[in-house]
Amino acid sequence: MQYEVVIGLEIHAQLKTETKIFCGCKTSFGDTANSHGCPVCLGLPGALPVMNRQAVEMAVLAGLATDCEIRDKSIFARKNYFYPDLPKGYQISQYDQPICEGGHLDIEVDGQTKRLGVTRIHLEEDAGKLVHDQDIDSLFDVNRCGTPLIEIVSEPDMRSPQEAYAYLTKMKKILQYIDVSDCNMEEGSLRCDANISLRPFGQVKLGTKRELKNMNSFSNVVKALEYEIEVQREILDSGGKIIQETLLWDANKNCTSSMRTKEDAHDYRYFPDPDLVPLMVPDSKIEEVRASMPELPVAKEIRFAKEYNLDNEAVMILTDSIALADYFEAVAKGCGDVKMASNWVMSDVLRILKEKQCKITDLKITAKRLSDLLALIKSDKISASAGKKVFNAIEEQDKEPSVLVDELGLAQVSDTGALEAVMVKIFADNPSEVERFKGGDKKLTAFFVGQAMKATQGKANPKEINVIIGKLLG
Amino acid sequence: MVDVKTVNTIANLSRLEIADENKPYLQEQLGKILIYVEQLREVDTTGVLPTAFLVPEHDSLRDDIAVDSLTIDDALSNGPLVTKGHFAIPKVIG
Repeated sequence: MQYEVVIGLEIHAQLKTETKIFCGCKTSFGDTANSHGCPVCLGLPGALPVMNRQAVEMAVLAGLATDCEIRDKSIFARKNYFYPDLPKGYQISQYDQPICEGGHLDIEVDGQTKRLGVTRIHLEEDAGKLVHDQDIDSLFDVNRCGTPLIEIVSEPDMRSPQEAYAYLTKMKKILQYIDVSDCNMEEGSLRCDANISLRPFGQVKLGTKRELKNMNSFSNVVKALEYEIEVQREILDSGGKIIQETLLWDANKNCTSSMRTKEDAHDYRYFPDPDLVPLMVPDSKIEEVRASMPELPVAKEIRFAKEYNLDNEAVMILTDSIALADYFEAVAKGCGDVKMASNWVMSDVLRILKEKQCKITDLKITAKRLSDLLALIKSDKISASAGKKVFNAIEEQDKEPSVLVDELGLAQVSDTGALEAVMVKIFADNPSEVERFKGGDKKLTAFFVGQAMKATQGKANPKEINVIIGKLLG
Repeated sequence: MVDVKTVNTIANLSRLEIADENKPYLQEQLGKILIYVEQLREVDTTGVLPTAFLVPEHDSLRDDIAVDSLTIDDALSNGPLVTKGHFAIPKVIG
């Protein structure tokens, strides 16, 4: 039978705050275990949580960026469960009154635009880290405990793993643009769970869903979904029933395993947390946050295509991050040549970023230096190949392009008198080529230019050489 | 009276092992608690919004500024069992 695939995603993104959501402990990653703990995040009796203003503003920003409604009053709730990754015995989350609701996100798959619903975005605290690889005990580290998270829940609007991938990519780009999360899946600052079910085409009622967890990359999300589609298809085709359960993806074995064997559904017994007053977000705050919103990815993509006349591939590469887009724009404006700027940024700048594994703002070849360098090439002060040498030298030596052109002796010779003398000698050394040229073999121009480059160590201006050849032999 | 299935469910969620012979006693006790809470139904709450918070609504946010955490030794001092700078807990699996 043919089935329609129905997918919904839950994304957990750690917010880039300095401190935890309900206490002043730092959120920094990778520090000594249990060095960021206090009575609040350790769940000591009598300690009271106080909400972090920055986390609220970031959640509002995420909501506005995905066209959500922002609730003027939202409520924190306790989600109770017995698992030793939160010392309090419950997670502070939001339940029936989340801060953001009813947004959407447009994706493009196979050239088609599709609007996907964002059900809600709510604030909650992250759990601590458990280390299981001990012989007898598990070990608990409180550092991550209380790191602010937003959970972004989509509508079950995706119909293929590819749509899920497009949604994730797009959401990640937005979260990075608005600078609320690092979105680093390896460090766990972005995590994704997927709900998936199958139903016969035409059936309105949703099939029983299963939840997939533990995917540590977007491509693993796709793999896990593809695997699960086949599993559910086989079960349904053989007349079986899907049982609602949570599955863990094993990226090494490319398969899933059941996470909870107990058949009882979790009863989290949510109730409003009496330790926290309702979270108020007045209109004035929403407008203040809205005013701080940067140009979002879609708007930037459209503008780049229009303003710079770039093809879709170049647009997507150059708008990958705000920092890269800003860099490109500065270079393009500085040197006055969009095509040249985009070529150099996409090839040389991205290559060096990859080699050095650093941020674009840490490069020695700043946008100003690159645009100066390109201006030198455009005005024939140096050749394009000399430009590549200067580019690498800037990154190595941290000097201005004009200084390096002098130091490396790469200035192009455009002095007609000097070049004419060079050409006269070349013609004298190659009488037979001169005869053939005069006889009509114009392809020999390249030969003469090559000889001129050799004689000047690549510094001759090829345009000038061409003019001189025409003048002396024409 | 609460049925034995409910007692088992609550015991499971609470990670408690309850001997079968103790279950009738708990069924009765939990039933009594429910009857006690049931009394609230006698109050006429027509037109009254559910109230979860008694404090007047106000801005109660904190600025995102780090303060000193406890030292690792202090943080771990209440742990019944401590190993390698961590709280040691009975082995659990995901």
